Amino acid sequence: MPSAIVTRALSKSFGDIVALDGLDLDVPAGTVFGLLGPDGAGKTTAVRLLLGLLLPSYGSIEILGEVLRDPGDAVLANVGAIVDGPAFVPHATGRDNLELWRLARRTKGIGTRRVEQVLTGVGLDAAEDAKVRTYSRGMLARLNLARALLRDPDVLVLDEPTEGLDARGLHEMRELLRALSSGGRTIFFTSCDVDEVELVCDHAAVLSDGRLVMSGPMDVLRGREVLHLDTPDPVRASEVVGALGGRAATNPRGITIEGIADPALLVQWLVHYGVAVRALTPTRVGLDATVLDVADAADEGDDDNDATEVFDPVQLGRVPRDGAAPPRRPPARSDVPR
Amino acid sequence: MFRVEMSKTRRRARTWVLAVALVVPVAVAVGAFGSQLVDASGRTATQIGTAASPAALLPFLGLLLIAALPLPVVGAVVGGTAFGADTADGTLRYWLVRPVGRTRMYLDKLGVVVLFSFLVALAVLVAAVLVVLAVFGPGEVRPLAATTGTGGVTTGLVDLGVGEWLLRLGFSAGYVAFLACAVASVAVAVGLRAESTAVGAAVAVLVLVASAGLATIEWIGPLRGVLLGRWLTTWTTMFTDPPRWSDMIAGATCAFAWLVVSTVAGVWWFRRCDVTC
Repeated sequence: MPSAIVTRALSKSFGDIVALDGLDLDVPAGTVFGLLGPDGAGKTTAVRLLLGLLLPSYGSIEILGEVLRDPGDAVLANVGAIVDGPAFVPHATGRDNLELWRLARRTKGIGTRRVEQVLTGVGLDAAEDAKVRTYSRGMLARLNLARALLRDPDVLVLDEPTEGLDARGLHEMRELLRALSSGGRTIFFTSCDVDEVELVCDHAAVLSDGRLVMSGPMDVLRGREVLHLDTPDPVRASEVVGALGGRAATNPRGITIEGIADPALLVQWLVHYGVAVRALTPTRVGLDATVLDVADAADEGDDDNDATEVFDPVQLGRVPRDGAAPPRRPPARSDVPR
Repeated sequence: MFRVEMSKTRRRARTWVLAVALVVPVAVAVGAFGSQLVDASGRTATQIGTAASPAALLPFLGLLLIAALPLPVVGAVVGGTAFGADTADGTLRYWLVRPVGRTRMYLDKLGVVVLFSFLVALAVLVAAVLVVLAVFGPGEVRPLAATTGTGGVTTGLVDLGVGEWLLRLGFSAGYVAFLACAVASVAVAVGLRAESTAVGAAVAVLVLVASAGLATIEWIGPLRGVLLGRWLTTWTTMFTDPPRWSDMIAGATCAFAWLVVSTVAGVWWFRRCDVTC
C-alpha cells in the first residue's frame, strides 16, 4: 500500500528542548492513522511540521509522494487540516468564514456551492448565517472540519479534532470521521484518547517524549496476546520467563507474560524449576494497556539513559534502534531437561 | 489573499471606528474654524472667501490636523492588527495551511494597510473640502498660495487655479498617507514578531515620536535625513509658491526607505519563523 505521508528522522528542537526526535512515520494511503501520546509528547509539533507551520530542525516530510520543501508548499493544497483547535474570524458568520478561506487560495471548480455542501455535510446548514462567536464548542469543531474539507482533500491532518467536545459532539465527530474515511481519504489524526483511536483508526503510532515508541496496524496493536500465570511463586517464575527471553510483570493475581511464543514450553520450564502453576491463561490486551506499557518502558529507558528502543508489535519484542543484537534466543523445546 | 484581507479589514468594527475618529473631528474643526472666521470679521462667508481666501487653506488645515500624529497612529494600529488579529484569533495557522505563501500573505496584508491609509487621508481631504464648500459656498473660494522670498518670508499671494489647487491637495494627502504607511509598515513587522496588535502599534508610534524628537537635534547632522519624524510636515510647502519639491522628494524617499527596510525585515523573519500561535 503506498504511503500518503512519510517522515524520515523528523526532528524539531526549540532551543535546548527536543520536541520531536527522529520521527519515522509511514501513513498508508486510504487509512485512518492515529498518533497517540500524552500531553507534551510531541503530537502537535508533528502536525505543525507536516503542515509547514514549523520548520524542521532535521529530517524530511513527503506528502502524497512529494517532498514538502517550503512552508506553504503547493503539495499542501491537497491537505485539509485542523491544528490546535478551532479558530475563525469571530465577527463573520460561519458561511462567510468558509467563503473567506475558499477565496484565500482559489481552486478551479470549488465555488460557493462547495461551501454549502460542506456546511450541510457537517450539519451546520441551519446555523450558517450566525456569527461564529455565537457558536457552541461542538459547532466550532464541526465548522473546523468543514473548513478542512473545503477543497475535498485526499489527506486530512487533524490535531485532536474531538478535544473539548461533550459526549454527543464526540459521537457526532467520530461518525463524521468514519464517514470521511470510507471515501478512500487518508486521515491522520492525533489524540490523547486511546479508546478513540481504537474505535476510529486502522493504524496507530505512539509518541512519548517526542519519540516514536510504537507503530503498526490496529489489529496487531489491539490483538497483542499475553499470558497470565497464576502462581504462588511469582519471583522465581519471572526468572524463568526472563531466561526464556520473555518479559514478566508482576500483579496481585500472578504475573503477566509477554514474548513467549510457546506456552507449553514455558510450562515445561516452570515445572522443571519447581514453580507451581495454578493456571496459565492466554489473554488479549487492549490498546490502552499496550500504550501504557510502552510509555512506561520508554520512561524507564530515559531514566537509565539507554539507547532509544522502538516497540515492534509484530515481533512482540524490543528492538534496539541502533541495530544491536536482540536479547538471547529463547531455548527450543529440545533444550528442556528431561 | 488581498481580497480576503480587504474583506476582513472591512468587516472589522475597529477599522470603521478609527476612520470615523479621524474624519469627523477634522470636518467639525474645519467647519468650526470657517464659521469663526465669518463671525470674527462680521462679513459674510462669501465676502471672506473672495477677499482673502483663507477658506482655500482650510482643507490643508484638515490634513495638518491628522498628519503629525493621528493618521500615523491609526496607520500603526491598523498595521499592528494585520498580523496581531490573526495571531490573537488563532487564524494565522489556518491561513498558512490553506496554503498561502508567507511572502504573499505579508505583502497582501501590507497592501491593505497602505490602501487604508490612503483612503483615510483622502476621506479627510474630501470631508474638509466639502465642509469648506458648505460654509463658504461653491465658486467663492479663491485658491491662493503664498509666494515666499528669501528665508521663507511671505511676499504675496498667487492665484493657483482650481485644477492646480486640487492637484496640490492631492499631493499633500498622498504624502501624508505615504508617511503613515511607512509607520504602519513598522507596526506590521513588529506586530508579527510580537504576535500582538498593541505592541506593534506602540513600537511604531514610539519610533515615530523618537525620530521626530531626534530630528530637532542639529548636531546629528546627516542622520536627520533618515529620521521619518523630520519630514512629517514637509507637505505644507504645497500651499506656498513655488512648492519645495526637493523636500517633498526627500521626505517621500525617507518614507519609502522605512517601508522597504521594515518590509524586507518582516518578510525575512516571517519566512523563517515557526508559527506556534
